[in-house]
Amino acid sequence: MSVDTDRPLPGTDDASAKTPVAELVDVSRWYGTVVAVSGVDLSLRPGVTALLGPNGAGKSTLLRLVCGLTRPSRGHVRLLGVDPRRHPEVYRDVGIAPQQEAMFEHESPTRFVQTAARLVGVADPEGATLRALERVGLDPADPRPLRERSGGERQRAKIAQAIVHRPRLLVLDEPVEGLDPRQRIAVLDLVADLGAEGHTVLVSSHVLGELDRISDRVLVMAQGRVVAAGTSHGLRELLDDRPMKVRVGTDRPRELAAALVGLPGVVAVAVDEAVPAGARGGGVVVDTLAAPALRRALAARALSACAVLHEVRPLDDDLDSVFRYLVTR
Amino acid sequence: MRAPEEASRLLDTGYRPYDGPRAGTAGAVGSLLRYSVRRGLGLGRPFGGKVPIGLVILIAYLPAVALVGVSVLVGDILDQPLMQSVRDYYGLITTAVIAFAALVVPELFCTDKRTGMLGRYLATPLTRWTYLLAKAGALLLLLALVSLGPPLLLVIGLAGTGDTPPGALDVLDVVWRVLVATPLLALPLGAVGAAVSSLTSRRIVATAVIGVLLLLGGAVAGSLAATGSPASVMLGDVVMVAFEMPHRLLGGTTSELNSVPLWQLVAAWCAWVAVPTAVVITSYARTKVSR
Amino acid sequence: MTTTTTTTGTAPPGATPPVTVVRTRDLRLRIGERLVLDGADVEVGPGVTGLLGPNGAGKTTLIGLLLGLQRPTSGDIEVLGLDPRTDGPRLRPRIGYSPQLQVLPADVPAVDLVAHLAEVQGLPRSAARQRSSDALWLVGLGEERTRRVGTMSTGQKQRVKLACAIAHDPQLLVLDEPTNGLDPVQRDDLLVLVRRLGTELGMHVLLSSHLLAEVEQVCDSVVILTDGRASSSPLRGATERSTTRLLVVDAGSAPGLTIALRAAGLSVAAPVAPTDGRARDRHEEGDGLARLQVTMTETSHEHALTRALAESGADVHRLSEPRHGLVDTYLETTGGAA
Repeated sequence: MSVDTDRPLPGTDDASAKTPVAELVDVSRWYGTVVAVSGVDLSLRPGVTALLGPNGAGKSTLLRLVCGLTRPSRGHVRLLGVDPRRHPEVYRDVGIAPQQEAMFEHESPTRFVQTAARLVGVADPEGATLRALERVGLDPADPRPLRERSGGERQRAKIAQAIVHRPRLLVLDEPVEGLDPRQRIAVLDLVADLGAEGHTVLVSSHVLGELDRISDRVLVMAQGRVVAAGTSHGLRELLDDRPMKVRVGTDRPRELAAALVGLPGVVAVAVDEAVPAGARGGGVVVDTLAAPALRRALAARALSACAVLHEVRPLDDDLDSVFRYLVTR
Repeated sequence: MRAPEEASRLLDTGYRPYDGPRAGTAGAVGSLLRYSVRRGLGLGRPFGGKVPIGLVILIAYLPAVALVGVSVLVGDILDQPLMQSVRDYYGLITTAVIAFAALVVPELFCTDKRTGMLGRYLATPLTRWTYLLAKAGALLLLLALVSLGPPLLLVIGLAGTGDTPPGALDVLDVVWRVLVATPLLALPLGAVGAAVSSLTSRRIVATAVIGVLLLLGGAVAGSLAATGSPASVMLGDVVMVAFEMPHRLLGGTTSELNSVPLWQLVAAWCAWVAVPTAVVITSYARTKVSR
Repeated sequence: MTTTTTTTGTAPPGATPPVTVVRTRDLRLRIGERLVLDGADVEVGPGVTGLLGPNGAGKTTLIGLLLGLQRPTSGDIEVLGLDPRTDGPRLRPRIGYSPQLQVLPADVPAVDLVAHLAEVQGLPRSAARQRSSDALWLVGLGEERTRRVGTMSTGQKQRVKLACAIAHDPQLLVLDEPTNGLDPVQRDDLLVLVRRLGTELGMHVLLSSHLLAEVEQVCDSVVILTDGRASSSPLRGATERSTTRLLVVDAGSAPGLTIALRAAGLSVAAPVAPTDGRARDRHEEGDGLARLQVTMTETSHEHALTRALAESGADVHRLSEPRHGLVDTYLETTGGAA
């Protein structure tokens, strides 16, 4: 997929970069007595922001609030600096690829995207459609309607429709659902490129490892609230004092275990001896509340135990573990 | 002196394998048949599903119960042979049988398609054909509930009460005819219901279509006959063909189809069973069991 | 990836020697004009096996053939020693199938649904009732088991499907995208259970999925379908010992460490980036860590590495052998496909 070489997006120069593309201030949304989103403050800037959260945490509602599709029960939403309800023309600068499948089943992707382009008032709908379809890897000349296409093609058509007008704000709800591994990588790379070009992209997905790779920022929701925001490694660092497990492969597991168990913060050390003794494959799993201290002291303790380090592997240092820790507290 | 202690044992690791007997296809067909009958009657469904069916069953049985009750209290109110009473009874319950078929048959066929159960059933010992076999069995049993039960109740009731009870041989004579009539009555109606249900996965649509087809057939055939077409045109009304069977078996000579020769009636009956069955078979043969 | 301990797929003590769970030879299936499967030779052994492939490569079709729901155009299939074409009714009760379809009867309580299917699979009614309850407890729905399925969330429905698949104690579990719609915590819990079913609890598992990370977490080997053909690769077990190591330390210590390592005779370089054109790993930028690729050519080098780490006072974040990940295997195998 070639990178689009058109004019840069408005808002990527210094002056307008001060205004967040989307801003929520103390926003809550309830439906009857059910509070879906509670007291959320956030601001979105160019780049890719990942929205994560358990099912039922309010992600879909939050996405709708950010797009301006739902109005908040409390608080206010600003898109490009204005209230979307007072200035509906701002919607022309928003692109949405929702999770639900309802689309124009009898249209071909080309017509579908063209219609969307026309509705938004794109200057050259045919040209913009061609570019959008090329970016997502769909053949513009294929006339078959959407209902005859595979899930992956439908997904990509949805994304093409969302980017055809080069919106400043792009909201993608589970954009790679149902896609095979290669397609997932391709679409996520596209999302990364869009972020790099200056679009403000808000992406939600349940597969954290994939999102982690391409996002600049991460928002974690649970129970209607945003419980964490920042970069993935920033969050991991902040939570460095959560219980963590590290596997250390060594030729002398028992001796290393003895040397580590006295380290401050270490809660438990499990010994996994290889058979026969001295062969590779043995090691220890250290349970600690002070991972930084362990990292610093590990090599020295190994040396003092006359043990060689074959492997050091954190077992829960990825975004999935951070996520689990944040949402199950 | 203390009794010796039993050795301690760990009893359960959280998963127990199953080493018992496993029924094959026959067991599967039986299971599905029983379950389908229960679902067809509205058991195992939330309360709302039971009400219309219960009402229809009530309507089918009520006249029989009433007649037997009156016979007990008052004596022979019907001054006619047992066979005729039973024959007339079929006329009384025609609408109830149609309503029952329209309500119950779609549940047997549509729901499984709508809820993804068809695919799950096919991942058991069942094949499409044994699945349909179980459903056909359930269908006949359910229809028998309203087409066999009430007349049988009437026979037994009238036979045991009244001032001049019929003789045992007379009763048996009526009973065997009723028994034979039941599948003859149920099969065409059930086949049409199954055919409509196999073409859609929406129960309500199927119920409506079946109701319209069964009721409309009579209206159309009736008006055609009134404008002077031959009686054999009435063979186009499946309800009439179906109910003609018990009528003739029970010695009747006064129906609208009366003038139609037996071979035509039988041929029409066979068509009314074979063609819808073919529709069902084709529909299920072509169904892709989607993921 | 998170809380699972990686175990190799060892059979429980006293188990029978490994069998071939699924074997196909030259399997072909034509649908209309298209040859969906074109000479597929599939071998699935005991333990947990992943089934991967591009959309349209024939994964669902293959599953349908294994269950005897469809007949192949040509070729041989053998599942658990039986031929699904001729022995379908005998074979299918030995398989527990969780299809991708999320639709379930809404007005039926979960325990009744699971018990009914177990009964149709051949269990006597009382055993079916009991195992249905057990299965729902095992998947974590014990307290919800009497609720109607229609009132359940996606995560709960996925677990109901899994309970339906295991209640009749199958030998082979075939799971088609069982974690669809689950959030990360729910997914991990389900995968831990699947791993347990495939190792401790003695079932063979075939897991079809689009999530490579999930397959890596749970499976012992994978079958990759491309263009109607199959190829297998193991995921665990001993790999060739490599002489290179990936070392991740705090950026501040990296220069001193590099000097010390080179002084000891090891070669140090920046790690090789993936060459398939994938976007860079964003989260690795600006996280204050340095990544080094260290090559050791003598047996004494490992000790030297430990010593250098200790003396430079580096924070050791990670030390690992570069593994040819499943992503690379997958992309290579499916390389020519659309």
